[in-house]
Amino acid sequence: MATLAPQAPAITAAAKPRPQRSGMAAAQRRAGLLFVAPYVVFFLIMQVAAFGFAIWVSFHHYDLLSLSNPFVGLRNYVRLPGNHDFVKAFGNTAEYAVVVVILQTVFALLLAVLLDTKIKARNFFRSTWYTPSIASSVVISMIFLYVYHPTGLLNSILGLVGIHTTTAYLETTTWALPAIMFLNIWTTAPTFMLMFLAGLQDIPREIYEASEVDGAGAVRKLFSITIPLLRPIIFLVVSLGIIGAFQVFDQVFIMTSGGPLKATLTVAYLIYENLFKDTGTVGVACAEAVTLGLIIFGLTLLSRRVIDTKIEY
Amino acid sequence: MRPIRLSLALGVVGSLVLAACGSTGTGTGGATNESDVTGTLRAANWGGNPTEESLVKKYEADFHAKYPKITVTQEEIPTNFEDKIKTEMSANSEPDAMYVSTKLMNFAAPAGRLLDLGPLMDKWSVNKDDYVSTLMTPWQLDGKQYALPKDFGDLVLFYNKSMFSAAGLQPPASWDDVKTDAKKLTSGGVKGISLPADSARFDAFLFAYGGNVLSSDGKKSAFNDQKGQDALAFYSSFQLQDHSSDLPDKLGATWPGDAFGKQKAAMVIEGGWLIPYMHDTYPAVQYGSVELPKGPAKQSSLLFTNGWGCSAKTKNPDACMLFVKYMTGKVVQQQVLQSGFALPSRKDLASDPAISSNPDVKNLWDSATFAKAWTFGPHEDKVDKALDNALQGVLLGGLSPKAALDKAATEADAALQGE
Repeated sequence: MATLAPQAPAITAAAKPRPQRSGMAAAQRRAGLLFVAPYVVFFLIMQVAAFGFAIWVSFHHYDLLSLSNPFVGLRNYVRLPGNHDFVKAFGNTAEYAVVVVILQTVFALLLAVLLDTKIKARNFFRSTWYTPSIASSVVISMIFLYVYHPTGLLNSILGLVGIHTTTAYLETTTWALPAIMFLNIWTTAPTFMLMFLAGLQDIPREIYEASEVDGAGAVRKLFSITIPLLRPIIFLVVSLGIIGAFQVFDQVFIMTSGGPLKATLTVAYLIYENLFKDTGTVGVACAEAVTLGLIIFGLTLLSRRVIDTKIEY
Repeated sequence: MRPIRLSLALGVVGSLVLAACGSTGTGTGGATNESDVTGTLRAANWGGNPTEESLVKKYEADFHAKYPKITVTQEEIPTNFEDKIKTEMSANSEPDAMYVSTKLMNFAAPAGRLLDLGPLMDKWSVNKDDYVSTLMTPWQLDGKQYALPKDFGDLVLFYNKSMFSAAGLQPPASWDDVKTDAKKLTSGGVKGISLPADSARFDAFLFAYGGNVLSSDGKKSAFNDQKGQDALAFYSSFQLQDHSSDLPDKLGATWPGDAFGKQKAAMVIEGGWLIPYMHDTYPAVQYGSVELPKGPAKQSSLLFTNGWGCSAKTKNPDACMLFVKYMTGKVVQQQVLQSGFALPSRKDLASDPAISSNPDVKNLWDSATFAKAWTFGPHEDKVDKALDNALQGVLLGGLSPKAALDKAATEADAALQGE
């Protein structure tokens, strides 16, 4: 700015402020670009180029260590519907997403509504409920390995209430996926609870007061005021939930490796297996990744259609 | 660093950093004396347990003391060793020397990323006959030798001495003995044996029945023939017909060795790793071992081995060869034996008292002569998983051996054809 000042006197009084401001703005723009440049470069290489490269690879029979990776057109995509692993993984992931997104959204909303009332020790509950979201998913998964162990915490607690079992939850096809679903709902719901809490504070008290005058009870207020007015937040929570659920990987990687009998094989984990555990299937992995990305994109658009409509009061 | 490595896996910036992280060294060219070889080596190993880690450090320090002109930097990769090396290879930044697992061998050697040690072995007088011969084959492809074995483990039958003597039983000498003993030792929550849904145990039965995992050219699965079905019928009969076996987790254990230590299973089929485990975790349990009995076709066992090898791109092949020679040589191998983590790979240690005076170690050592290495080519991960699923399908899902193996063969063949 100081370097621009000497030029100022040459300009007429009336026009003076504008060119000076645009000169400053240009300098600021340049500085701004300079400041974001490291990230933009990083973003272009790590995100845009990587994504473009993944799309390119998905049209090839590709191996990480091979020098000749022939072009195969759409073959990797065309074969996906006939690939038993992909179909199984997609089914598991869809099931997982439906259950987790619905339950964690409802659970998070209930927690938030509870905390929004004037219950005692609010701060205590807010902190303790949020704790699971702080720990890394890897740590939580390790802990839950012990919770779900045949002689672990869950079965010990069940034993206390008279249910004696040595079910190995992660080793049976019936329980393995629900076990991971539960753990994920338990970890992510509190994060969304915070978003709902923020949303709740934006709802004007007057609307509630007016409805009380009209004789609305707590349930009526929840369904007629709170939930409709939280729509933008619900959209956010559902979209983030869908994205997270379709990407589920860490828990599967740490706890089950996709087993037993592929009961917990998810698309993200299958991509990893094709990328590293097999030879010559990197192209397939990339086709799966691009497909997964398109599915998530489509579902997010769809949830916006369904949920995020404008409401005026 | 993690996200960067992931992108490296995709090869995006691979070309940008090509050779930027490559090894540095002066190269030795025409040196013909071991003491004239100079260079710097990056050597990668995976982390086993703290003791094993410190042992590797010690061996490398000893190596540097013997060859002061060669400097070794240890690069320890705690988990997912093969993933990391594969990524580094695709970015041309892999270490010079590395542990070579059979898995690593199976994807790196066909791609030409491991150094053929053959000519260097001649140059630096490394005799392949010094090594146990069954341990050399896993590292051979098209007549080339891509690694030298650093240790191994194989399977024997461990039995609980006090449970056997309480039941008045002798150690089993045949599979019929194992079957009747298992029935006699089963009572209440205790089973005679614990056979897991794990192809790394079942394959020993498959081989003993004369079956094979893959066809001889390695392009098709072969485990679903009559021999495979018979082997699986026998393997599952303990649990399904005799009720004398159960999966470890059904016995409240994490793996068969754990069930054995908790005395919930009187017999298990495990390897040398059980010995230090029992010593550390269940020191009170009295146990013995026998070689796996002869099957209908032959006596067999599974061999799990790892080696040391070099990157095909190393700038110091001579230094790397000397390093591999030292790490698989008698001095280090004797210490491997004494550490008790694994068995040494060298024939010249057969008469070592640590082997000859310990009957369990002797059984493990002797089994190496008829054991078959657990390694099944570049798609083995999917092949093994398909077979694991077949075992689970029979032991948990009520499938017949034929139905389960046929389904697994379809899955395995899809993987073998590179789908």
